[in-house]
Amino acid sequence: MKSRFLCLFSVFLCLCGQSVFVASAKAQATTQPVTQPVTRFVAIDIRIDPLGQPLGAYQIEFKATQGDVRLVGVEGGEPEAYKKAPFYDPKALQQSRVIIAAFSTESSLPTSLTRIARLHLQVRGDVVPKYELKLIVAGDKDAKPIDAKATWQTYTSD
Amino acid sequence: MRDDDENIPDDLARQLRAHISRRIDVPEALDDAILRGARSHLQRRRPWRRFASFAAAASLLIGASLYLIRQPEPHHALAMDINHDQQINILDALTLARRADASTQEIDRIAMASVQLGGVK
Repeated sequence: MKSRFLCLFSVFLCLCGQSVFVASAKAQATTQPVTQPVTRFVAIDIRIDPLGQPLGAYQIEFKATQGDVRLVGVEGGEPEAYKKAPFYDPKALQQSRVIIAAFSTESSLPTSLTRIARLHLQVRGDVVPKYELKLIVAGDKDAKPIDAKATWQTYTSD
Repeated sequence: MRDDDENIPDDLARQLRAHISRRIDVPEALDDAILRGARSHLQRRRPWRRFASFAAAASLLIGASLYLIRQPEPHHALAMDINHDQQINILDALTLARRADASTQEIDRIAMASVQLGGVK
């Protein structure tokens, strides 16, 4: 009887512990809304120049180093090979850092400066944002690493 | 001392036998008092010992549960390094995609792993 009670109580404690853990994890994952006087939306074009090589794949990291910037959407690029939205971690939404990556097995691949993705950002407050873009890797059609240059540009519809 | 021990003189053997077989009477009240004291002493100690061992077992269970929850799925980072360059990135996904027998699910899994903000899990 006593051992059964102890066993049940142990299970109860375990469940309590897990509940507390899950609750704290959820609380950490939740971002608290911050009231800011000004909110605007900007789009950033991500471009890659594969320097004459066919761009078979790319992986870049983009982050805001200044300002209250949050990612709200990721769009594909201009060429047919990268029209589809790239892979990204959904957890990056509402954060200021994202890693995007895409590959293409199509025969027609870009070989010069091309817009490969567009990031949609929400900017709050008056601080002018600063961005940093890092090319993690670029590859040719055979998935061999190639030299390439990644740049970003604010998109304007005009 | 054995009865058949021939080396002991009879007189000494008789005296020793008389001494050993003498009954020592312990009053029943004293016996009970000692027993009660011992029981009470053990009862005072037991709850703490029980609680301590129970708490240790419970902590162990909780710790093990949390550890298992935090463990990522057994993902086999090595299995995702398709091109064997010691990194998991989009080139692994492309390498796999170029194979005729590759499954879309596996390709997507590697591609998604390469863009995880917390690194490959």
